[in-house]
Amino acid sequence: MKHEKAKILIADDEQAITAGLSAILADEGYAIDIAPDGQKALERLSEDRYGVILADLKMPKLDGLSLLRELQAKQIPTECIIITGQATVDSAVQAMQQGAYDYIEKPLNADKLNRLKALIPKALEKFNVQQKNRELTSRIEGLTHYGELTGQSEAMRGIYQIIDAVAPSNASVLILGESGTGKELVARAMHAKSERAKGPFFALNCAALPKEILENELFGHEKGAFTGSTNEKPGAFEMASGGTIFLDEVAEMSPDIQVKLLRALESRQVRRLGGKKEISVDIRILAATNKDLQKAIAETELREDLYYRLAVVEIVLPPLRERTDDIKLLADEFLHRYASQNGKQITDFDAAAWDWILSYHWPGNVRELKNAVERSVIMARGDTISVTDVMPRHLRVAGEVPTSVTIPVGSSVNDARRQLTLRTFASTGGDLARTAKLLGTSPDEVRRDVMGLLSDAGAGASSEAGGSGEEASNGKHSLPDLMSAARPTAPAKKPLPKKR
Amino acid sequence: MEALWLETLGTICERVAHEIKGALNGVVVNVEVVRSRSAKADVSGASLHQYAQSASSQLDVVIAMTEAMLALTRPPRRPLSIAQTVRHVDALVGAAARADDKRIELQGMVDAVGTTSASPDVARLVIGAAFIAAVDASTDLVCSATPGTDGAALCWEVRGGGRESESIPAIDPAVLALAASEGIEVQKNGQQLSITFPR
Repeated sequence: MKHEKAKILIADDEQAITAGLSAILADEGYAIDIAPDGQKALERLSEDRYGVILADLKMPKLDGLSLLRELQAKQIPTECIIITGQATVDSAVQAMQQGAYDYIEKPLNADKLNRLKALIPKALEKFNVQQKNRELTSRIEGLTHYGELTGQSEAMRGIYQIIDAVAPSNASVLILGESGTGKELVARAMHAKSERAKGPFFALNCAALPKEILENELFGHEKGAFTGSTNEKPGAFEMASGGTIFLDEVAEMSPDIQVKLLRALESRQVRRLGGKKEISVDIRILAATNKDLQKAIAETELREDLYYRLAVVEIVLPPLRERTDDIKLLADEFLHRYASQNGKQITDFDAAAWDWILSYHWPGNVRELKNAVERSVIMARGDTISVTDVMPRHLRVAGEVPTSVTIPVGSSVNDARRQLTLRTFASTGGDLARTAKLLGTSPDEVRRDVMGLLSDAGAGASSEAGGSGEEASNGKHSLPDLMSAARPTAPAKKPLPKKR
Repeated sequence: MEALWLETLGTICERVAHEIKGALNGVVVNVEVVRSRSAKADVSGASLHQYAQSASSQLDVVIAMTEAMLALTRPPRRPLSIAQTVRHVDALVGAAARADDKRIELQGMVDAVGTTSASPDVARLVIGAAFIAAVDASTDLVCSATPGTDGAALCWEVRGGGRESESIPAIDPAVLALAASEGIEVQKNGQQLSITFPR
């Protein structure tokens, strides 16, 4: 690649050399500037951008090595080629260690000049790549959106950089992350940034389709392949040829489809159901899963060879709770989107709503936040959204219900059982039958545990309040009270219930 | 004596090597411009003149340095021309110092200083050692001469008094001993170094 009019700075105090060198390099199509010493060179490099600097090691005021150190310290982007006399090869090696692109020994005879002419385009290539990278990094640092993805946290900027780097290649990418983190949006962004952007993007959820239908969707079928197949039908591989296929929940795919998929990935050929001929496809595969892949491979749910084929590059999407910087940005964006869609003049969340939004752990990730905001916009009556608008119903009843139970070491089996029962009971919104089903026990047993705790909690609450205990015996405790009583992380405020 | 002169010559060569290479590079690079451009059909001879001229003047520099170097490596003539020896050392040590942004001025009287009856080897050694010591002392030096009937004097002086740190360093005692044995007087006074040669 010829770098027409790329700028080169020659730093040398030998006027005869700089004049000759600049003529030779100008003939090669470069724009040349000259600095008579290292100090002047540094000034020029600070003011203007030069892809390459040719610096003599021995110069007045600031020698080549000191100049190189200054360039590094001031992070001035350029590629430095050191010109040195034979006696200073050690210094040239030192210069290379300090980041010089290369060095050329004097005398600059025709061979050395030819080598210099060959070196400069390579140095410029490196400079340009690094320049693009610097621009990309600085662009991404200010980004709040990337494709359909929203986020300006460090974690998301890292994801944007990976997408930018990987998108132009043809490598298979495996996108990992909890449900609702935006795996499909990453796949869409990658497709949009790739050279396949003009081709189709075909998304298939492997968990949502029964095995036979999924196979048919992926590979298509010939007429008469099975009962009722009156026409031939191309599969996703054929239809998405020239584009990208996104296979969501790929670990849910049945083992025999995994074999066919592996074969298609390796040979870039597919055969329709009931068909005999191989059809070549030009396809890029992006896959996603929220499963623990090590476990899935160990339990032979996912073929290891398929995993390695799919995971040429792995992208791990962070859950929303790990990028709290983005929650406000996302909530604001969803608020304005749904307010506009629903024709409502809602401008903001109130302070309590913001407190709750920013402190909640969002187990359903961005999808849960999006749904919560959409629902709150629909439900809100004023121009701001309150905490009761945005908080899901089951949490409004029970307070925040964690999805896990922490049982301290040393707890009795009965205490552990009671905590598990009550948490599950709270998470179902007080549904005895569902709690019993989830716990694998009977509704009567759940009732006994709950009533037992009600008695204990009631006694404790009455005692604290100086009351008679009548409220507890009447069974009028709310679910939040129960949860509070059962919460093991706050024993000082409300002791765990005593053993019955 | 021979060892001291070889050591002095070594110092001179070391200092001037970069200048000789620089001038040679100037020749090579400019000749390369002329060579590559003259191969093109649409290039006029006039456009090459600048580079041919530059190559030629760099070649003059190389020639001058080479001649000075050869003169210093040959056995000196008797009687020794003090002025010519100073000019030879200046063409090498002075050129290297000037390339380092130092100012070295040889006043016109130097050429009129004449010859000395002292041993030409010793006189040449003293001139070389004194020039190197003086150049190391300051960034701004002037070399003057006083021809006389009994003796000729050379003097290096830091111009304008210089800074306190710019005092001329001591010359090797072995050189001074040889100088004394030949009747050459060397006097150092802070920022001034003078040598008086017997006529």
